[in-house]
Amino acid sequence: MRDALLIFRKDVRRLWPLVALNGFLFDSVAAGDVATIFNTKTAVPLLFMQLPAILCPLFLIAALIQQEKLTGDRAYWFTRPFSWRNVLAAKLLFAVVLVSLPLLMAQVTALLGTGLSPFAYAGMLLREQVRFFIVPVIEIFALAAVTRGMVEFIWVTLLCMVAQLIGLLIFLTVFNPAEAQDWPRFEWFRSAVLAAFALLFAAAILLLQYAGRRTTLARATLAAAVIALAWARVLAPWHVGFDLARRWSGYAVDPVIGQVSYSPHPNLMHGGACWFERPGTFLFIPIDVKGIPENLAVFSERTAARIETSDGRAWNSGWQAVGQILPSSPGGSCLHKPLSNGPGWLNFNLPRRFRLQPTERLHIRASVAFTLLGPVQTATLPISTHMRWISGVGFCAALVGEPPVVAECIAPLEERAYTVLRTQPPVGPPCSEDLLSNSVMSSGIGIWRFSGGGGTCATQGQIYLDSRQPIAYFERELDISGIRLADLEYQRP
Amino acid sequence: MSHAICTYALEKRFRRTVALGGVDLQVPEGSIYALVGPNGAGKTTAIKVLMNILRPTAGRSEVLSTDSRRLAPRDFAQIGYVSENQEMPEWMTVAYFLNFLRPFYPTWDDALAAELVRQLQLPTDRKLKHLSRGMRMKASLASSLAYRPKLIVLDEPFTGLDALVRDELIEGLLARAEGTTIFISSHDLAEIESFASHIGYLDEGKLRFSEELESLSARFREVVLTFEVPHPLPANLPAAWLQPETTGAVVRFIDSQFDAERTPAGVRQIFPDARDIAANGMPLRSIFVALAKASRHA
Repeated sequence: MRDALLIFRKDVRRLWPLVALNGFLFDSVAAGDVATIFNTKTAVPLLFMQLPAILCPLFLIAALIQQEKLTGDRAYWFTRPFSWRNVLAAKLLFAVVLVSLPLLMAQVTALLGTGLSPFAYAGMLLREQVRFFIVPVIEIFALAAVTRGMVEFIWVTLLCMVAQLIGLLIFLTVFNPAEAQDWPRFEWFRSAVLAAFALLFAAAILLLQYAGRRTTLARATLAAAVIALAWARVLAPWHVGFDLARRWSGYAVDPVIGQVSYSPHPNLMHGGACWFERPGTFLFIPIDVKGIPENLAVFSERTAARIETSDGRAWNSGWQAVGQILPSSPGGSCLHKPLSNGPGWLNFNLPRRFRLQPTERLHIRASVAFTLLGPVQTATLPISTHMRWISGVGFCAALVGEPPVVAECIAPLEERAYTVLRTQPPVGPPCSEDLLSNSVMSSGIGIWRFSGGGGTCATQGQIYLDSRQPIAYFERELDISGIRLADLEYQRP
Repeated sequence: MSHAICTYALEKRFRRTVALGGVDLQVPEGSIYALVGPNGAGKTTAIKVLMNILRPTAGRSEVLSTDSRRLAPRDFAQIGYVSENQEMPEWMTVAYFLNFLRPFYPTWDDALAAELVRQLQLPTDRKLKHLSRGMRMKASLASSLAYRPKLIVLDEPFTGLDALVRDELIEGLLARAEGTTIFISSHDLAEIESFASHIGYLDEGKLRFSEELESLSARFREVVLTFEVPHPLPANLPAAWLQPETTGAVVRFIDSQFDAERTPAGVRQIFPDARDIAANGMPLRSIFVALAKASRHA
């Protein structure tokens, strides 16, 4: 350990200007995060610090590793009494103390600056540290360990990024794109699987290089890692993430909650109001959802369907992101939002190759993945440029704009509750409802991770944020035999 | 006799290129062993395999009785390695470089380090990147001698250095070499000759010979035969006679197995009409050139 500290001290002496610059950039991003909330003039210029704040630690890590180069046969330390374990330990210590911890300090500072308690976010701050240490710190460790110098490091990094992109495109072409689409609430699972792969490969590369300087083998492992990471998504199907969330929620959902049944109803509002621009056949099945306790709600995350025809043809949808239950509401609202008991439309997008005749008999089996949501918490959002903290939602502001009022919320580190932006005129039903998205706005450095907004229908009336926290996850089945396409609503291009 | 370095059928290939083709080498402890050979002979490769910088393709080697593949930090604490093409931490000053290395060596001698710095006239406050090539080699040498290593390995230390710096390096080396084994690769034979005790000749990855310098010098002689009239070269001369040539009434060759009694008798047998036979001692450089030419014509 003494030797590791000696190497660490030497690296600090060598790299302190980059360490200082890195700390400055992290702090600038933190200052930008605070300025965003208070809408000060410094917010915009500080936003430009995001890119250098992302790049600086990457160069710092690469420079750190290449102080004791692992490639070639000329590095001075190969013939000095340096244990590879000590060299690696020194580099890891440096990365933790002078790259990761400054990020933690900057994020704590940003939370304090916005009036939030870092202790309330301790778990998420720790998770951020782990995430940042794996992606990008350890990844950059591995890349720097197999490259000869900074120029080669940059080229190899760019090459890996391009190769990953190509690999991803091939993946999307070969596999069901539905599986690869956005995973708003379960992205953590896919990210965790990819991070685990990245960690595994990076550890293998570092061991190969540090323990044996097997550069050719390490480079081959890097190439394999690039391909594997593009395709590791196969090992992270959406439903596995959902199932894990179901198991870990520790909440036994009563079987009567959220039962789904086929329910043709003559007065059901037209599902066709929700046609989307998609290829193939867009199918709407009228259903009824029931059993949801009065103060709770459910949110249909995704659905998986199997449709069999009388002549033996079959189609499996997989867990389609477009397969959702949309409420049947006045005006034919297509809002994907929390559901209460009542009628709705279960929709699927059938591929062109699975063409159905309107009168042929079908057997439809569908699984619906639901999130059970807790009681609603409603907060009012006055029209103001000043952002206001709304528990479970984040900092929100509503501004007069186009449409009449635009509301925007940003959330620190954690995902927000399922939140609907509702505009309530003085009389009558809500004139608009909009589910706040959970768009990732992360640079990986600042504290604002999720943003979402929506428009409201009028400047008259009160704007509300109805938020519900997820409490459990469950699935329900729907089985319909002998039905015809003509009995359902559908549209073909 | 125990050996500081031993190799057993050591082989190293770079794809199809054979850099070392089954080298068996023994370096006696306490010797100053010079590994010589033309450029591309495999000297640097051999040293890098010995230092565990490169992995051998076949065979094995031992350094200070340890398999070179298993050389650990504690072994490197007893080995000094100086190479012309080693990358140094160039941002360090000479003083910082020595101070940084000091704690890694249990036997580091501060007084000796200071003396080396003084003797080699190293500017301690100057960064390594601002040093001349000769100064860098001196700094490397000082950092490799200050812990009194049991073995010093030098890879082409004199290449490109002026005569004064070479002398200073050699002086610095020899002054601290008592009881230390020195293994040096070079093609600067004039320098080697002045201090090496043993010599090995490597050519095209093969060790052509390895012996004490004294015995090598003793067995190589330039033999000059003088005749009354111009004399042609006979067809079948002994294989140990290298580069035979005739110029008018004079025949010359290099005897690589010279023996004060047997050689004149052998010459008389083949050249009975030789008027005069002279056997002249040879500088190492001439021996090296003769061997190099002979191996190319073989």
